[in-house]
Amino acid sequence: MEESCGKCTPCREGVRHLYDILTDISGGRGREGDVELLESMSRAIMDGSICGLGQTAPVPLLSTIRYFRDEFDAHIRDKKCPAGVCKELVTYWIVEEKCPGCSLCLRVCPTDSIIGSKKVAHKILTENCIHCGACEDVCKFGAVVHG
Amino acid sequence: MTVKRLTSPEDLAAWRGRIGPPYKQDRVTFVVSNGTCGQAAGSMDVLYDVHEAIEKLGAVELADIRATGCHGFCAIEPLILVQPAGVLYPKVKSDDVRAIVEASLRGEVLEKKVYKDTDGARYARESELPYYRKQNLMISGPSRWVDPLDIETYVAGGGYDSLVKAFAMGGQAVIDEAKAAGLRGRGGGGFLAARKWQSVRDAHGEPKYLLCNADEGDPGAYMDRALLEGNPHLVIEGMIIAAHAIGATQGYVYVRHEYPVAVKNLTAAIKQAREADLLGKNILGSGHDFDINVSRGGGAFVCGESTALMASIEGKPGEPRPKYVHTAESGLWGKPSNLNNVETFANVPWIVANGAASYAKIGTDTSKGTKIFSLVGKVNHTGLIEVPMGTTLREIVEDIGGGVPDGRSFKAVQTGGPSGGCLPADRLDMPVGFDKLWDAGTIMGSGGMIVMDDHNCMVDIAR
Repeated sequence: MEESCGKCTPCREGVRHLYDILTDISGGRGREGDVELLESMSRAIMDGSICGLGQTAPVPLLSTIRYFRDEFDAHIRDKKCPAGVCKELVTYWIVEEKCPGCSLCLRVCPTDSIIGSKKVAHKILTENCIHCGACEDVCKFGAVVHG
Repeated sequence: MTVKRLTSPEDLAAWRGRIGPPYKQDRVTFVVSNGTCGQAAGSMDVLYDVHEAIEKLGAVELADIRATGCHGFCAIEPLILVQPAGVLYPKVKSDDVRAIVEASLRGEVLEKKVYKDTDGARYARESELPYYRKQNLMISGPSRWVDPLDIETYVAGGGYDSLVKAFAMGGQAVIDEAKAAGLRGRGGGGFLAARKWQSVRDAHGEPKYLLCNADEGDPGAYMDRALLEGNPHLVIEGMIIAAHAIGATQGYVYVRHEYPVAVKNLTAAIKQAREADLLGKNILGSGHDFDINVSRGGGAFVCGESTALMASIEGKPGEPRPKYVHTAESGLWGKPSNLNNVETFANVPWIVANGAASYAKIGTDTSKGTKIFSLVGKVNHTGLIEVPMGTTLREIVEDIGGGVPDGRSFKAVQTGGPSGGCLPADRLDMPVGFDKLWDAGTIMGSGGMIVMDDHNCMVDIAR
């Protein structure tokens, strides 16, 4: 997106809008019809750009829609990211049986969203969780999972 | 090293006779892959250690050291390749160097340090590696013995012979040969090189310019850098042949600003070629003039586009213009100009040397020859690979790439760099080629190939 030289409007503005729509989808704010909108915009950008940059910029998008439509639908309809990558669509929780209550995650949590006391399994309060994954990174027991 | 001025093809042959074969048969040559990637992995230290080990063992008279460009197998850098035995030692550590040098000088193989594949099997010789087995290194292969800073190592392997042959054939015959070979532009467009050359040859206006696009901007693609760094004379030879074909007298290589080693090696190679009269006036006594200047890139991705690139060489902002008037008619400085990619030029000497028929035998109906891909992402063996067109994605990802690591499952492969499309597992048996990839909704592009596993989100990738 940063690479458009700006000469052709469809490339300069269109690619930015594709990016915005995709950001919304991965942030759980996707709407029905977004995919169709992305497709028609992509075609307009490819037709309306002078050089190879604009003509091919939407290729990755169109091919992922063609082969991985179900993942787009999962983000838009079910508000889920099957691969567990899109932070805003991911929830973190602690598997009680694996958690020895070491309180390491509790201390690194930037929003104090983990509660519990020593040697008692901890719990993540989802309403304040910002999905940063810090707890999962520090857990030595594999007790923090996301999906 | 003294470069003699060459005034005839016979001079070149005599020079090659004096140099001898690429490796001295009575000495052990320690080859260290020393491209940008090798240096990042620590090849400079390895070179130093090898040097030191040889001196300490008092074997200066028995051994040679050669620093080459990239050998392609990035995952095992830094490496030592012992020649002429062909034994490969991957991921060399400082402490192991002395043992490796000692064993090699005795003509032995240090079994415990040779390459071990993901399945645990050991392979001592480079040619036996599963990574190389399905590859055809006709273009990138010489990079494994050529010292980019020493023209003699290139000449020793038959370098500049194609040029002699091309001069004897004549310009039009070279174009016809490239046409019969079916050589298509490797920069991504896949345009027939011969058609482009023909239109510049037929265009009115003097002088004509020959440009080489080395503004490789796609993240994850680095075959052009590897070729320029590792074997600059191959690109130079390809350019002289193409210049002869189209009647150009001045050439430019537009090198990406981020490739300092490529600029250094290319500049040194051009200087040596000039000293040998392989560039400049009256090349090899043929009466043809051609010289090359290196132009450093403007930094923007779009500068790799032909009209933007020419604007950038002229010192103007690198913006493309509509191509109502083709650059073959009015390109750089308003003169007929021909632009090809590094890898395209690198294919030219092979075609001239071996003939169009042998070239056209390799590949598919519409895509001939080989293509260098940079295989990266979630795959065990990352690196530059050169495969015949028509090799399937499955062979590339599983056989050469060694599959997806950590027991994860393959999800998609993105071909053609960031502007390319993603193909899912059920398309893995598709043979690669310009048209096949386009039909599947993606592009050949520059040849980047990024493998993704089940931990990659496709919506996020598209973003």
